[in-house]
Amino acid sequence: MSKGHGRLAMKRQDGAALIVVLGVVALSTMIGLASMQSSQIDEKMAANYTLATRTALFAERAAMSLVPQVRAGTSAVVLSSNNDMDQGGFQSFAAKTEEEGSKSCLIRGSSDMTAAACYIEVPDGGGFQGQKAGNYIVAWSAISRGSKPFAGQPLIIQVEDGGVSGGAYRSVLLGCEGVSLSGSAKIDSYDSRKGAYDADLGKGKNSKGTQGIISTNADKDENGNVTLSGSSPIYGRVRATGSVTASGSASIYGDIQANGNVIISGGGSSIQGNVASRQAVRLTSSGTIKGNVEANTEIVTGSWGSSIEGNATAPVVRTTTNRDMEQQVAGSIDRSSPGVGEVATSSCDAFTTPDGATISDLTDTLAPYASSGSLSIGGGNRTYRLTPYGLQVPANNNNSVPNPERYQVTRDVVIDGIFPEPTNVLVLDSFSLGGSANFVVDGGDMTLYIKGDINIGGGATFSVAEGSSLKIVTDGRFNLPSGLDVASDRPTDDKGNPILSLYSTYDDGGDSGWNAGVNITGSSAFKGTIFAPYSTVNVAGSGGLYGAVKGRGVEVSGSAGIHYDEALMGSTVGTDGESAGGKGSNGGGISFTWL
Amino acid sequence: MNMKVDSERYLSRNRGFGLVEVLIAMAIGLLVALGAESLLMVGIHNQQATQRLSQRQAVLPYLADSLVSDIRRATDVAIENDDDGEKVVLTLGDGDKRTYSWNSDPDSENGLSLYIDGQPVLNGFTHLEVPKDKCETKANELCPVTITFENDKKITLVVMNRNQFMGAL
Repeated sequence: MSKGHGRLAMKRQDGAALIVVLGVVALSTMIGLASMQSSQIDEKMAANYTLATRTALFAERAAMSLVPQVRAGTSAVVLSSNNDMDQGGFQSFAAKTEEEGSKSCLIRGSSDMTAAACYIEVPDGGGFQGQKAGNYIVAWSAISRGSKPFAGQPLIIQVEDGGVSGGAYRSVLLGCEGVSLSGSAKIDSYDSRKGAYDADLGKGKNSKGTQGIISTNADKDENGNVTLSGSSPIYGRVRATGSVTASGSASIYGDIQANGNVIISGGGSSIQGNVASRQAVRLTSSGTIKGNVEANTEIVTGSWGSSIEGNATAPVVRTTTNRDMEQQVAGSIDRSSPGVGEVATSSCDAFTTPDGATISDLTDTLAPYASSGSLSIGGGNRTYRLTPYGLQVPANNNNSVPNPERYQVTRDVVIDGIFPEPTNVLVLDSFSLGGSANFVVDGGDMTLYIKGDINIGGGATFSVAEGSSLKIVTDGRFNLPSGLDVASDRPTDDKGNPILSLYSTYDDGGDSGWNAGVNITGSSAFKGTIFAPYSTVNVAGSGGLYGAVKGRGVEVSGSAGIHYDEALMGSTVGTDGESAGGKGSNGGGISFTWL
Repeated sequence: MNMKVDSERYLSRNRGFGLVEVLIAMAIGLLVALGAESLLMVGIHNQQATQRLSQRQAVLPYLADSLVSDIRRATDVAIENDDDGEKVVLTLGDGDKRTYSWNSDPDSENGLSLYIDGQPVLNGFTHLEVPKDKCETKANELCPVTITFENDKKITLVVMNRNQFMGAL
């Protein structure tokens, strides 16, 4: 018992230290726990931030993969009406759109991330993430993480078409001073990257599209008119800085926009798209406009049978017939000014970039190279071959081309700011090909700079071999009553640049028909592009044209179709990557703005 | 027998601690207390370090989310210096303008304050550098945004303006 008493005393002595130490340990445990907790929260925040950054970057990558498609002219899709779309909804929309074969959406995936990107159009009155009407690239990405995936913020990039007027190859027919169509051929577009024109791509699809833009860009009031008197349909838009007169019976499957009057006088003609004019819209025939009509001065219907199926917006909406205007307009009539915007004008002789090189820069670059004289080939059915190493004539030449070694090709000429690759140049005073001779350009990219006229006629054939390309630059007239063949099925190479292209600086003073500076009247198809800012381009051939034309004026009277190759929208001719600069300078002036 | 019990009880009642016992007890107690104290100090020190890091972590993502991502997506970046300090004037894609400015706040012991359009939004950093020669739109270069924290700890975020990048494509 006494022993127990002593032990009790000892315990009481030890207790003080124990309590102090316990207290201190408890305090430091609390501090430790608190800082652990806060660093745990920090760790979670950092993890979330990492996820947010990863999704943002991955979404950006998906958006960037979509940019080439957008530049190439893929059309925008309208999101389904669900405006409160979340990441999952957007992704399934994109997956469905991609499944249907559309190039407007794509899905990208990595080990734990998925991203969907779509080129969307926000219509008037619609909305997506609070954006106003317009075209956008939207990319949205998510990371799978346990049961609930982490969805990032959507990346929205505004896409603006900087105007078709600047592009050398954006329009199928760009006549700076005017376009006149009187042929019976249809005008449409196709994408040669998907397949040849008329090719069956399965599922009832073909490569054809409605990107055939017909435009003018003169800055004078009396010019820039588009006259459509043909009888075949136009699959594409019409944009004119002057007036548009449609007197043919053909349908136009696209919108019409003009700074001047739009006069639709063709009986039975129908416009499937919208019509907008900064002046008046006159529907003097029994034609139909299926879309909306907007005019800054007035809309006049002049026939009992004219009808507007959409809305009509103009300060004055009237009819010269005894019929009620309300009976001719199926939509609403709004008697106020719609404020139709202007079709932009631009320099006619410039290449793709609005501030870029002009066609005279091209001839100035080529001018210092010495001319090899004239080249005239005729005679029988023999093959003459032009390669970067010179002209090869057949052994039994019959003196048709004496001294072929005098034709000196200058190799690897860099034409800065215009052609993306160095080219091999042969300079000639004039060039003519006749008889039944065959002329083949082979062995790479060739440029023929001809200071005088070019005549390719008779039964002669002129062709560009597979894998080669030819640029013809001329200061004289270009006459092609014969065929000029491109061995490749496509008018463009993989980069969208034309395989055969013609650049003419000849000034024909605005003559037309047979006196035009560029005359394509052959019976075989012309696959390539024509750029002649001072000459009228007369296409009267029966073989059709696959490519694009930009000229002082364009006249089409042939019976075969004009088919724009959508691959040309990706053409890099006329842009020089860095130095050309400017906002989204290639692809027809499409600009991208991060929002 | 009885006597023995008595004397034992007496002894036990008057028994104190030996000097050696007390010294040993004090030495052990001192050691334990010192150990506990240093544990406490380590805890406090750690907590301070965590706090500093977490403040840095609050500042950095905020700057990256606001200033840096705005520089990334701006259509125009202009950098001005005036008496109040430095200013970054950004024009955004939708046409809005946003001004970031920073200067030392006399009321704050936390160094600089960042203002967006004149509203104070952030402090906790000692220096912020957005070099004019690299970050303005016309420079067409990678823009290094450097944030300095206390103890001269520098962190640089490098930005490329996306619109510029697309334009140069």
